[in-house]
Amino acid sequence: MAISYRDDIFLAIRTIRKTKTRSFLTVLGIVIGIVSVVTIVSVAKGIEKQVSKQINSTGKNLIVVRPGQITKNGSNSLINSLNELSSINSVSSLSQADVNSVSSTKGVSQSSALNVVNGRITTNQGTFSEAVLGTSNQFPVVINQQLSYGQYFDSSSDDIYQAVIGQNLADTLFGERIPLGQSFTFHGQTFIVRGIFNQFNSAPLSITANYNSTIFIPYYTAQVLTNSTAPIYEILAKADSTNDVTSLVKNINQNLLALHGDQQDFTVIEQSQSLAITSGVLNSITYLIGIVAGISLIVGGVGIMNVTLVSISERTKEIGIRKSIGATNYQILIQFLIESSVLSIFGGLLGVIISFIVDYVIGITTSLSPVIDVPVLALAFIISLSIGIIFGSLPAFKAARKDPILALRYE
Amino acid sequence: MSIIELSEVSKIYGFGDATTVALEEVNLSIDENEFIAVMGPSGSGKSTLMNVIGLLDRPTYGKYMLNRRSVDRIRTNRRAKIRRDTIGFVFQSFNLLPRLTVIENVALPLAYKGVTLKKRLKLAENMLERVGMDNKKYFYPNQLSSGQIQCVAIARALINNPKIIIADEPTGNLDTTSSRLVMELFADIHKTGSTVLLVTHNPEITRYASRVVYMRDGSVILDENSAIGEIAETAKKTIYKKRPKKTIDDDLAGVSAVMESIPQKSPNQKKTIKKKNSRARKKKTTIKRKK
Repeated sequence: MAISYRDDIFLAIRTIRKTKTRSFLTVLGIVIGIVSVVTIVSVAKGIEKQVSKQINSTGKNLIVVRPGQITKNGSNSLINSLNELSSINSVSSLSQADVNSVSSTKGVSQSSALNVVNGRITTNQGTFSEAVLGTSNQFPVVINQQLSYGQYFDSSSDDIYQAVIGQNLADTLFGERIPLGQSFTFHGQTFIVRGIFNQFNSAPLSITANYNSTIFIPYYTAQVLTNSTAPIYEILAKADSTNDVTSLVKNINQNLLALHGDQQDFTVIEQSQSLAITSGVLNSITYLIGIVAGISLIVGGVGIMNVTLVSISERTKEIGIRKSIGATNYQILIQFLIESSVLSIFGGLLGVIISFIVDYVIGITTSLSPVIDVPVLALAFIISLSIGIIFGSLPAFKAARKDPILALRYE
Repeated sequence: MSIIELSEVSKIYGFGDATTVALEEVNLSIDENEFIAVMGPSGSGKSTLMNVIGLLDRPTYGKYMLNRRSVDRIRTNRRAKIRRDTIGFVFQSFNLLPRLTVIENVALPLAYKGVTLKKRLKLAENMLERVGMDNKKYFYPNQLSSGQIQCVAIARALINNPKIIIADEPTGNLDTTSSRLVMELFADIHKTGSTVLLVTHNPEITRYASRVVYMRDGSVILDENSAIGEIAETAKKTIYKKRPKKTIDDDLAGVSAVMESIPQKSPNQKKTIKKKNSRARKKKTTIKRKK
């Protein structure tokens, strides 16, 4: 069948150019839907990428012990995921005995407990409230992180008031890039900055603290400052090898259960699982926004259908003329399907452009790094095209079935 | 040899009391390369006849043979293709697509045939040259005069080299000069071997026709041969009674005069249109054909 697809496409583009405002208003629903879909998918992809980067940098043999129980009922519902997230913030049920138990478990090469010390930091730049974590000197080895400047504190050192800071804090706290030797006051003690960490690969929305904005002090010092009341935030343990991390998790869990009187008020998981929880939560949010975007796309599609119906009514005479000069019903059908599809793809294109802007803004204002790649663009194109075809079908069928005589008489 | 053969063709619109008989058992045979003018008052069924012949409409009853093939029961898409390849339409209101340029309008029927863009633009350009509109090819219809638009419409009708040209009052919206220009074009088309069917109210137009068919109340009531270059006999009776002045009233008066001069439908010609399956008897319409 001889069909002039190219002519129909050019004609549709010409129509859009001639009726810019109307076309824009028609595709607004599609634009909003595509922006929602592309943004959420690109953000999710960005997070996925950051998570895998974090897993790769810390190593697959990292085990995390956290206070509180992260329950998983086997369902991936949103409520369940949010429950998982909230359980992370429960009061610490971990103690020094647990730290010792973990470090002495067979198969653990290094371990480091992290305890949280609350308080405000005073530097010559002012007073700040940044996260302060007490860690053992094995911490850099456990999380597989290098220092860019200086060195990590030594537990054998007499000077217990020393600190290593995350890279983001250098400028914030001291107003310089390499504040080695600078001091700050915390809990009435003067701490000297001994080292600065390399940039951590930190996954956004992660249940792990953002180490780039954290001050690390010796574990012992944290105990001294708080009279051993500093809650243990987590215990990190590094397995000897990556081969049997799962059974090591089981062993640690059993040992801790014995210490806790068979109460599972803690969670032992692999680092990757810990990050998977974040992904799970994010997936649930993605579904939620996906539903909203879907509704927006349907509304947009109905808008296209409406305008195409009006357009067909206005162009009844044109349909009559085309039929009188030999257009078949199929060719008329294709013409209007192409028009609605081009309109819809135009909406999708506009949506993608706006998504790039939105993602750029998200990128510079948050720690998220959205990724718009070819599959995302293909998704946007397929969605737009589908909407155009689905919602353009009814008007196109109506146009195709018009009686040429009545159409020609239409004024 | 007949290119168009209508046998007892009727067209009925509506149901029950609202039934309108637009065509009533019309018998008409048109040979190749005839130039036929169809005359009659408004509502006499001229346009319906053109629509049926042009495959835009289906007859309710009767047989229609086009190119010796029955076309009254063929499918819609097949009709569209025959329309595209065999028939060219010219309308009173021109019916060009306002969003397309002159050359795009002329090339449009070729697009439905699947001719490549380059080839169809070339063919359209040639056709525009033939009607003397090649210098306006990139104009939009609203930038042209009525006469020019009708020339473009004729070019569009000719682009597929159709055997039959159907023109429904092509000079109805044109002034005298433009009308003459357009009619000369039709005369040229006729000379190249095409069959031309032309609906008109203007007796002067019959000068171009080789045969004039008069219609009233959906029936063909008079069918006369006419010498090309001369006004048909029946039409002539009225036209020179009084030289019409060029006002609408005069035009209408002219049309009425034509109709007065042609015979009324005889009472025995009236037929009742019944459903096809219940109609056993076949009446033959008597058509006076002056030899």
